[in-house]
Amino acid sequence: VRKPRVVGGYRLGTLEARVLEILWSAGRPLSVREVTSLLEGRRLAYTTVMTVLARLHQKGVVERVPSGRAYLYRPAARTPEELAAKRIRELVEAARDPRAVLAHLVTDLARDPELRQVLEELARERGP
Amino acid sequence: VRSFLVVAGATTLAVAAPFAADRLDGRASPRIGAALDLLELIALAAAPVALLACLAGAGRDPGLHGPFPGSGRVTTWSALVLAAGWGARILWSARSALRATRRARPSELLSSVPTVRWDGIPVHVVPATEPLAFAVGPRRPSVVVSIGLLRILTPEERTAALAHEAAHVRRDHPWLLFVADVLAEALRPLPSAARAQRGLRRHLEAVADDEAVLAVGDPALVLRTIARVGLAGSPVPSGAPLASGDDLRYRIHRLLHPPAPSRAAAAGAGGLFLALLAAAVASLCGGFHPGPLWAAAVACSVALAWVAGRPLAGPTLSGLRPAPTGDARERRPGGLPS
Repeated sequence: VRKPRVVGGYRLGTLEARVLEILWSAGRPLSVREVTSLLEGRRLAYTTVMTVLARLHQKGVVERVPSGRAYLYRPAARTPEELAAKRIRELVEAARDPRAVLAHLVTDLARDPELRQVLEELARERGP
Repeated sequence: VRSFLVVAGATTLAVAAPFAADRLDGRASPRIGAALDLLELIALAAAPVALLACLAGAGRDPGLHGPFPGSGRVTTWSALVLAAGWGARILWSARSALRATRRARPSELLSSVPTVRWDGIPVHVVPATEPLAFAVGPRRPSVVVSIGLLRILTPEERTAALAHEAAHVRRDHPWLLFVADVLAEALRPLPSAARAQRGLRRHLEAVADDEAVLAVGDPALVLRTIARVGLAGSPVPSGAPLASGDDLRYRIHRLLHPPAPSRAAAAGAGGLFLALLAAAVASLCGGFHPGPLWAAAVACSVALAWVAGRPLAGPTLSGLRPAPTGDARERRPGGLPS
């Protein structure tokens, strides 16, 4: 049974969360085989662990570094808090995509010096 | 031939309408402007359907056999294939737009940040230093603001900013803008479509500005909020092509010089709305109608008028009169971090 949980603003399955914890405690990039051997409890197939790591990579939770013909995996952030900060940065980035956000309070403030001046006057008016 | 003329007329009207609608800007209410823009996009998207339906009908007509036997069937089939292609294009555009909107609405993140309710609308407060305030959707629409934004605003200005964004959500603007984005994307090379899309965005911003003025009772306060957020933020691209400061100028101008309601502008806008409605109905229902034509036309008009009339909902602002003081203060949520 998979209970999804939220780690650092990402929704992860139980196995995904466990793999991430293993990567965090390892302190160095791990191969799929190393992760497989570090997983306690029932022995999981190599391909299962590889799929989990690939999904974590796709979600942006882990990074992979090429090593020989395979990849080593490491967390994209050092702590859950850092991961959450990364998630926030992704949201801020997405917010700049006009197709993603449907209505900003202010858009379109192009590099228009004249308009900036108008805004500065308005901001001063009866301002605190 | 007669239906071809009808369709050609409807298409011309839909193509030309955005230019006419732009002339009404600033004189008619932004609600009417938004309804017109939405209807224009629908009429434009419907035009290919009508043209292809005509083509398919011509192919079936025994009197219109082409230069070689069987060419009628070829015409019919190619029209059907093209119609299917047009449908697929709109679906594809909807799919990619939906994907993009999901990126700005990561539900697992937003459910883990502090969330307050503003007039019943969820407002997620994300811990980011950038001054952000936006409405997300179209599914489960909500408002996202950043701590960076709340920090640079006074309590009164926060009220104005939240009232503006909450108005977007309450009036279903995320849905309307999503539909407009999808249709405009499918119609991309067409200048009229881009114009209508941009017009819709601008008008809906003005509608939300009006509601913010109603909530805080002071146009100057809304203006100051817009100005402060605009000055603090890194420039965010507006969704529309040809972006310049014009949309913001339009909003500022409206708040500084509230337009006197003009009967002529309202009549012009109403006339244009009805004409566009007729065009869209002719395009969509002229070709395919299983039952009697009048029934199809009535059903079609009601459905289209309902969709295009969505932006019209909400209180109207007559001359930007200050709202009774006091109630704006009470509606401010207490849980916002300062």
